Amino acid sequence: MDILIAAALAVLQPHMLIIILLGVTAGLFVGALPGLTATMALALMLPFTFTLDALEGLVALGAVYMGTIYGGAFTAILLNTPGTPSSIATTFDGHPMAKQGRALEAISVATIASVVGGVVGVTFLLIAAPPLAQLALKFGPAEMFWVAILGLTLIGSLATGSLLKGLLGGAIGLLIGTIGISPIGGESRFTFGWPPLQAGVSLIVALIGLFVIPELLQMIRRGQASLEPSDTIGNTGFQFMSALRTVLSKPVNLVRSCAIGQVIAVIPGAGGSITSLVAYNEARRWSKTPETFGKGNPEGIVASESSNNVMVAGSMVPLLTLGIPGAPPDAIILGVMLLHGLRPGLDLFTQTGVLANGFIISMGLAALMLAPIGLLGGRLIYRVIIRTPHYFLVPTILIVTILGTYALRNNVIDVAIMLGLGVVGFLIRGLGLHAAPIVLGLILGTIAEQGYVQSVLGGMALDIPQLRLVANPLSQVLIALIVLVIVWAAWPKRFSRKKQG
Amino acid sequence: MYIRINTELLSGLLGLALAAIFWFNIGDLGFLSAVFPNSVLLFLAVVSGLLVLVGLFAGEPVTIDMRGVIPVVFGIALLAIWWLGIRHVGFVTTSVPLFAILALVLKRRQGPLSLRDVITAVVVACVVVGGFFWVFSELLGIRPFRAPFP
Amino acid sequence: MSEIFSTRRTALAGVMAACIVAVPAMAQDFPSRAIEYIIPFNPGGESDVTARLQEPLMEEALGISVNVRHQPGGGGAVAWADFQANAEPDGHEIIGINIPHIVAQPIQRADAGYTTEGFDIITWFHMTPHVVVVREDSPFQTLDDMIEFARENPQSLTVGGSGTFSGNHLEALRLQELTDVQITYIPFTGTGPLPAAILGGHVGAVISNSTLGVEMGDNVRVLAVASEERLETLPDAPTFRELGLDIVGGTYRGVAVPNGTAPEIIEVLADLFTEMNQTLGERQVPMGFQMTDIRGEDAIDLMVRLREQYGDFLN
Repeated sequence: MDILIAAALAVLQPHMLIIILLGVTAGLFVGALPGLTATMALALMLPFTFTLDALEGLVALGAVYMGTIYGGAFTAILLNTPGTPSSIATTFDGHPMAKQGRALEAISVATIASVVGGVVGVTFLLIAAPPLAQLALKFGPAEMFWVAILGLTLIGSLATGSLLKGLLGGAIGLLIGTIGISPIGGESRFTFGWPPLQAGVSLIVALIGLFVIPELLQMIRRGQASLEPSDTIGNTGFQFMSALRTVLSKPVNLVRSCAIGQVIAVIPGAGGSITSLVAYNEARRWSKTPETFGKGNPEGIVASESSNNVMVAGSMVPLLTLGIPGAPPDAIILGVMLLHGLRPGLDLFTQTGVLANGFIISMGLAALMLAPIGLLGGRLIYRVIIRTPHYFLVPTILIVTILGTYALRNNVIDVAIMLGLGVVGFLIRGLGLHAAPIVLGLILGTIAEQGYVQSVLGGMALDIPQLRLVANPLSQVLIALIVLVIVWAAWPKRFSRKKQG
Repeated sequence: MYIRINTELLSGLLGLALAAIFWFNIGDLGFLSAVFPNSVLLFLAVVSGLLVLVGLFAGEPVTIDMRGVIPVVFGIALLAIWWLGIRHVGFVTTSVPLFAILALVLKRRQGPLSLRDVITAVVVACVVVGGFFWVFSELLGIRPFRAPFP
Repeated sequence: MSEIFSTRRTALAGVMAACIVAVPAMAQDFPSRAIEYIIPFNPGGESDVTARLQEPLMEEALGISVNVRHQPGGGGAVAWADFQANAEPDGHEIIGINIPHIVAQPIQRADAGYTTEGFDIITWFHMTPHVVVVREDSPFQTLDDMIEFARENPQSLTVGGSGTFSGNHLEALRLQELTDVQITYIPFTGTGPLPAAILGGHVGAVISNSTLGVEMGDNVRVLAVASEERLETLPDAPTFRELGLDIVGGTYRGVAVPNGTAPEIIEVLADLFTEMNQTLGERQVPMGFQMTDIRGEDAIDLMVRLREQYGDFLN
């Protein structure tokens, strides 16, 4: 307890609060630009953190991280473009709300959900890091394979309309993910004789292409913006209170989403892109009115944004206790810790407890600061977007996506892939093939492949190496869960309801 | 203008075509690299085959709204030119004129253009392109595109 | 085999000599603009963190700005191919390079897009020797225990490492060859997932870089180190040579410029990296790095030696 108080005092210094404020603000704007990821934001900050002491450096990184993940929600809502992969699910209901003139409400709901998620994640990190870390270690290659398969069952609900077309989209996504150097075998695949394709199709490049470009082509086609300006701008202010009521009126959804976020976040390698999709899917599954999802139901935003902000602190559990980066940005935080001579492990919490706990507490403060900064910043971004005439908005978004895509890996080929996938994505929309299942396939393909091949390799001493996949109790639990999900989805009553919707 | 197409059949055929393209380009891979793509290709082929069957026997043609095809074709062509320009000419030199052209084409559909509109579009194009280029290359330290001109 | 390599070595020397003659001295103009320092891997890895440490020191010494850029993909190959095709040979564009990557990829891939000889190496500035690591409660007290288990249970011992045809993998193959046992090497995508694999018991042992052994501290036991002498940071871990196995190897990191860069410029940069190693060493040696300064002929010799040692595994 003394350590916690000392840590809190160390963080509640004026200059620390300024670092957090600046970090969250910077992260928010970076996160709102498609292509600029949390990982990149943290990498850009590295040289600055060398001039700070260990705690200050970590606090700055934590604040930027929190801000970036939240910033992705803005463009998801306003432009149907997830700023980071973790806000894919935010587009599903956020953008329909914006089209209905409820953009500010959507942003307010996203903000409050993010704050709650961030604080929940930090609390768990403070009180339950060691047991959660043990849970994380249970997920080996075989378990990861089943997690990926479980994720693929999400297609059932992401597919709007035909299930077969959803599966086709998922398969296309899986296939796109196999382009490039194979993750386990190390050989180059499907490069069609062209060395630059060794880099493969980055998830974020595909994400930008499949989500943004079709939206722009749609605006070019219709000759008008897809957003309805809100009548209520100005007179209801931030709509803070009503948004708070919206979030708190469905406490079960909030608690469930945070719990999902917490569990998935500690599984190393799963990452924020899946957490928000799973939380969204569950919110819809358990809702009494699942047909309202995808058409502007704030509950969808609550699920997505609360779970992905839990992930920020949640992924620090394996990082701080075991030195295992739970998500890509964590690798940079690990790098900074090691440079300052801090070794992850339980010693971190005892010997350097003030530092470790101070870092965690600062992330909680960063989460709280999302509320004022996000509501002000969100309003600013909203105004800029809504007041810009569509004929300037379309080329501006295009410029930003091109630069953002290039910035990701300094690779001009990525820009061509992004634009090409965007055009294809637009054309196959007419066939009823949507972006979400394709992106899901792309996310899960690598996880599934690694898990499968590593498990089979691990079973080389068995007569049938594939048996290694089902050997562990946790694998069997996951398989049971998958069967349950499929049976549930195929239940006749729900089937007929879906057809009506 | 509307057309009626059988989307199940078409998407099934698309999937089969994709599977074929990848199947014939898989090359000589070891087990570790080949096992997963092979499974995916099989899965893709099965799903696509089912879609073709559904399309043939139970497919209902869907009416597709083909209005606005010309602007879309224009948009796609613009994207292609944009990329070629960035690659072979330069980011700013390509983006400023294309930005202005796209803005003017979109504005044109609301009514005739005046000289003032043209000047505004060019100025906005310079400011937006230059501004974002500066933010990315100077502030965020992203390497400028490798091309003869800025 | 060695004949081919010596021919290549002569060719390399020839290329270097040709450059000396062909390029007029323009070192006095160097540096005249900002330096691009390209890292062909993701942010957060050893290459990146090292470059981030070098960045401010370089800026101070040269009086110009240095920009570290990432261009990840294909295990580094995409950036290396782009660099050899497009970078100006004037010293203002430098790129991080790694052994064994730049030796192994062009041999093993049909078209990696670049060649090992396409770089003029400034210097290999540090290396991380390979280590064999087991969990602290593992039954293997020594390397001999592990080898013995593998001998009695072919293929049962799983050993994790980063990547296929990577340094870790080649070291595992060499260990098998020298001890004549069958182990199952399981590649992971980078060093990041290895702590989870070992602590979660998903693999029996891990072959990784010395930094991992230092970082994981008391949670693991380091059975052997592939360095010439014991490491200060891992005093209890014997070297392979002490255990009677001739394995010395690790991941070397360095920087390179395109072929045709003036030797004076390369020397200016090489001296700078050597100087920076003093400062960097204070931070990196305790993390398990070994600072090196391998340049000129020695840098090429190092690659030729490795190609001789591992070339058979790659074909």
